[in-house]
Amino acid sequence: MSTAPITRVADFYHPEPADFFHKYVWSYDHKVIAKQYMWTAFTFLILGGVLAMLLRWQIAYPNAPVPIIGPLLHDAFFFGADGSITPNGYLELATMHGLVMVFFVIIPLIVGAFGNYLIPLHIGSRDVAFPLLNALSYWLYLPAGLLMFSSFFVDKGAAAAGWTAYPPLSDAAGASEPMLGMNLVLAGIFLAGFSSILGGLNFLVTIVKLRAPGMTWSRLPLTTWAQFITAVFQVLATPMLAAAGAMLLFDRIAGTSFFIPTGLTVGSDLAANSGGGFPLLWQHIFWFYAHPAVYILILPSMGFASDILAAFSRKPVFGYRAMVISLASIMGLGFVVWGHHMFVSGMNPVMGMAFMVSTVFIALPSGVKVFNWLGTLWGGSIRLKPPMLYAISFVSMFIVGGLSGIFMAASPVDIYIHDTYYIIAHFHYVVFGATLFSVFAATTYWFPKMFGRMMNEKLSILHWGLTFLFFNLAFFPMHFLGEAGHMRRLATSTGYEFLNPLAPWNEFITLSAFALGMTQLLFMYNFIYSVFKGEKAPDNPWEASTLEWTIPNPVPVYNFKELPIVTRGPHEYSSPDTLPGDWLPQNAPARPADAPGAAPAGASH
Amino acid sequence: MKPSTALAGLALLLPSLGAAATVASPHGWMPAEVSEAGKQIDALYMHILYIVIAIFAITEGLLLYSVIAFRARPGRRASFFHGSAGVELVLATIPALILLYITVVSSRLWDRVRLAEPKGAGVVHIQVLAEQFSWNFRYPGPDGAFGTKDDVLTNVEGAVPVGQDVVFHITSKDVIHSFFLPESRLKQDLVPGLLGKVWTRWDLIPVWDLVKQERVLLTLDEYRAAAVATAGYTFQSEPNPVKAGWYQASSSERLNYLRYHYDRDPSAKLVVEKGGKPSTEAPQYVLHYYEIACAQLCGSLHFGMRGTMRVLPPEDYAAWLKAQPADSGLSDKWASVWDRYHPEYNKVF
Amino acid sequence: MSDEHHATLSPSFHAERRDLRAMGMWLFLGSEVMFFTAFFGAYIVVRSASVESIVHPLDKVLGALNTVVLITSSLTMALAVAWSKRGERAKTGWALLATLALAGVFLVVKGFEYAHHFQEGVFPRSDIFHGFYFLLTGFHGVHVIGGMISLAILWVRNRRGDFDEHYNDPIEMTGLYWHFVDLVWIFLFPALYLL
Repeated sequence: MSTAPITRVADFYHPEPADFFHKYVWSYDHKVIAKQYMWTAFTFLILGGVLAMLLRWQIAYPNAPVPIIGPLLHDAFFFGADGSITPNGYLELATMHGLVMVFFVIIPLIVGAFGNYLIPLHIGSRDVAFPLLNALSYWLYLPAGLLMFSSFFVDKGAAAAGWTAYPPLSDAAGASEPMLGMNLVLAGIFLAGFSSILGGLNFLVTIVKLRAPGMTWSRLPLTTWAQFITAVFQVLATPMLAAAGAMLLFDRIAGTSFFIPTGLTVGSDLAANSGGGFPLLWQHIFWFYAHPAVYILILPSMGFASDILAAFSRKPVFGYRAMVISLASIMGLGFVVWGHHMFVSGMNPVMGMAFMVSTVFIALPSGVKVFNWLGTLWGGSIRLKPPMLYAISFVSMFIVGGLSGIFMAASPVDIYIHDTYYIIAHFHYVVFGATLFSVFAATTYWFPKMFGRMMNEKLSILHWGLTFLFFNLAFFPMHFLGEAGHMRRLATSTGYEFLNPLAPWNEFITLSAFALGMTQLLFMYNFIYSVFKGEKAPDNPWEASTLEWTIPNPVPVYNFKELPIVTRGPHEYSSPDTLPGDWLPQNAPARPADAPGAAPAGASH
Repeated sequence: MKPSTALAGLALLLPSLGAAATVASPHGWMPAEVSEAGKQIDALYMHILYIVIAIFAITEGLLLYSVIAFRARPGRRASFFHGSAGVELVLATIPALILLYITVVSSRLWDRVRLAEPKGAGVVHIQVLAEQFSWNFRYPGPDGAFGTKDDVLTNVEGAVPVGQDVVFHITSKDVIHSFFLPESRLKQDLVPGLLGKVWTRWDLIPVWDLVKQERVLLTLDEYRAAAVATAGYTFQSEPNPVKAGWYQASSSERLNYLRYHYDRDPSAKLVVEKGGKPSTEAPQYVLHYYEIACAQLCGSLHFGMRGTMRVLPPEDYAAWLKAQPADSGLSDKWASVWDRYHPEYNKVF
Repeated sequence: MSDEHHATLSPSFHAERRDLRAMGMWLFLGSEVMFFTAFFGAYIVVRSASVESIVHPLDKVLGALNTVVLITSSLTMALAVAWSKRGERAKTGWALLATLALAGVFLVVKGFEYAHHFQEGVFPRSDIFHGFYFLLTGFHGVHVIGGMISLAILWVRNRRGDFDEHYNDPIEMTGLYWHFVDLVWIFLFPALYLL
């Protein structure tokens, strides 16, 4: 690298580190940090999945010993003396499954891994705005995850009050509430939240300030737009979670009673805390964060899907401007709908009315996006490669998840289906069916760029088909269970007459869930094998036009040898000026037909 | 057609079949609704379901069609267009109007269900105090006031008269629970420190058919026309004999499939009534109940927090109130929690 | 930092990077505003909904004194930033030191208040008002300590000659942060002590 003075931030980059530690452990390179997030998050995905398998066992075969693992681990963790899952153990499983998946899998994957990897490449910069902060964000996330994980090993186990941790149950007053486990989890969430806030502001500054020349806001890939809006949510909403968590920790450790009302009596004992607090206070502050959090869970994956659908339909995204406006509307409305989680909470019904209106209308931008995805496919030249198969399934599952949300938005209906399996079906369709499928799409799509190799196509298609099948078999029947009134978080439903006829469905769902879990081994094998032994990938195997495909594999530490000058939109596939091919990179010279010795369409420099 | 497309199509078919099944049967999966509000909630649900199914069919259909019709073929070039403001506008306006319709219908129903509290002399008021892990009910007794010596206190089992508006005043003494009566489509959280109010009117009486051994719902007239046993039977359940799977040793371990039935209890006196008077006819039905479920996680025995709500003809309701033990040991709970810290909750009328 | 790997970072580079850092700091302060808003919002809701009168008098004099101390420290911080931008190293150092000292005074006064409370047997768990009092002032105090650490590091770096009229971002960013910390107190003082 030259020793001439550096005049622009865009020219600055941290040079290639020499030793293992700086290369793979404490790295400033956004691409390395992205991979750190990815590996860690995928590991937590396995943990979250195992927790789900265990709790599904208990639902289908209540009080039956878990095969093999049960007798082995009897009396430890969630298991009772005979290897079956104890009632409190079941609640631990349900709680930790939710917490792990939301905070330690999905957000780190779609924002920490893919956001980190793609944003600088998509906008044409060498790194994010604050590389040191970026490294710090990861190194807050990992200890946070370990803290959370350690809660399984302490006396009385992990948190067991649901991922939503409603006080007084989650508070010092909850009779069966474990002490240290929940505190560890809260500490972990605090750190993870901090990581998220720093990451969010890093991305915001990067996208606003470090775009390459010519990369106007209307030429950004939709992945980047989605990350931008997500980052706004991260910076503004996550602090609320920190505040709520701090108040809950104070209640649990310092004996305050922010959420404990006067006269709270557990058993026959008056609560030690002085009272004067409000349980609903937690719900308001928590959901003020947690509702934007669910948009954090879905928006980046909408971004991936948009770009992938365009690339494999060989035509621009239908209604780019409308897509951006939808994202912005979701951002605006997303802050004023939190009360729809509290329709039956005892909150003032007039507020319920207000939240219903905002909630019903937030369906509109999502609907616009679905129509635009359909419009992107319409008239295309569709290449059904694995990323595209996953992306199409994303749209299909998002439609189901989004439509089921309308029932909840209608508050009188929500009175009935709140806290039932209907809700579980809804959010799994959106977070698993939509977001996780989009993660699979993004992984298979950007794998060649990240690792210089291709994932096995046949294995990917097999994984896609089986996952799609088993996912629907496992989760669609939950809508029926919810319609029947089957409540959530029940260690066993055998006590209720009205739930008894539903037992066969619980078993069917469990078996489908086991099949679904086993299918993921295909993906794991494919991913790990391909990282080391996959077929070497060309620089642009998908013939895609966004900037990351203009640089060679493996991507050098400085990303772009010369910073690109952007001349086109991100999805100008099949435009007349791409003839005889059907694409040009975003930084193609303005009039390629005039350039002497013009390279044929598809060549990168 | 490629296997992957076929697989995708099949997987799309499944939710469609499920949706069709839901529409086909009048109640779908829902328990039969037994109150006026419940009927209206169900009607709203079905409204939304029809709309949702239509949108589902159109969008998923277009998706599937596009994937097949616009497949890449050699020599075929994708159509190049960025969108259409006109199409966007239409595609945004139609859902907006649909959503507006849903909002209007929902708010009217919400108003009726949550904001229009029944008032007047004929309304029955009942206090509900939830605790880990049971339900406590308090009735005002003959003096019509709560917190007095003649209050009727029960635990786990409550009762209401049929055909009359009932207002429940609900709270909890320890953690948040949820007062859920599925057939009534009634649900609200019981929050310590907060007094909630839910109301409903039950029009159907739950009884158990002794021949078919299943629950049936009778109107007051049907009830009076039949011979119903009010005592002398016990409710039993045992695991359904089901073929054991390879993973379990014996079918007795299959606790999740239960068979319910009422059996004549020889040690208990048989009491049968018909038309509001005692009868010696062989009973056709036994008095049964609606179940109360806790729908908000409240601790490790959340799954066991079950209650029962009897809906009774007026004369039986009065008899039931009289029959409850006067000194049940439950008064401490109410006195130390409800009356001591929230005497204002007792001001009802 | 890897600045040493490159020959020089020109003034235009510093100016551009300063812009990035300023935006980052404003966003961070935005998140901090949301954090404290949650507490303030909760406090307001609980205050207005509480049946009994829960306000116990805090020492208004000490509170007012702390307010003056912090506002003055904001002044000295602003002076530090201004002098640093003019390359006046010595004056910058004195201003930083003054800010640090005033922050220390703030913490000492707060410490007196806390000690007094504990002596009287008043703890966060004593009643809901004190719960909020200790929560709000506690977190504010943590932010003051964080600022003080930053100020100390800045003073050392300034002494070492790290800053000049082109490169003084850390001082400016800490200045922004410090003004925010002061602003939070300006809301805290009336909310807890006066109203």
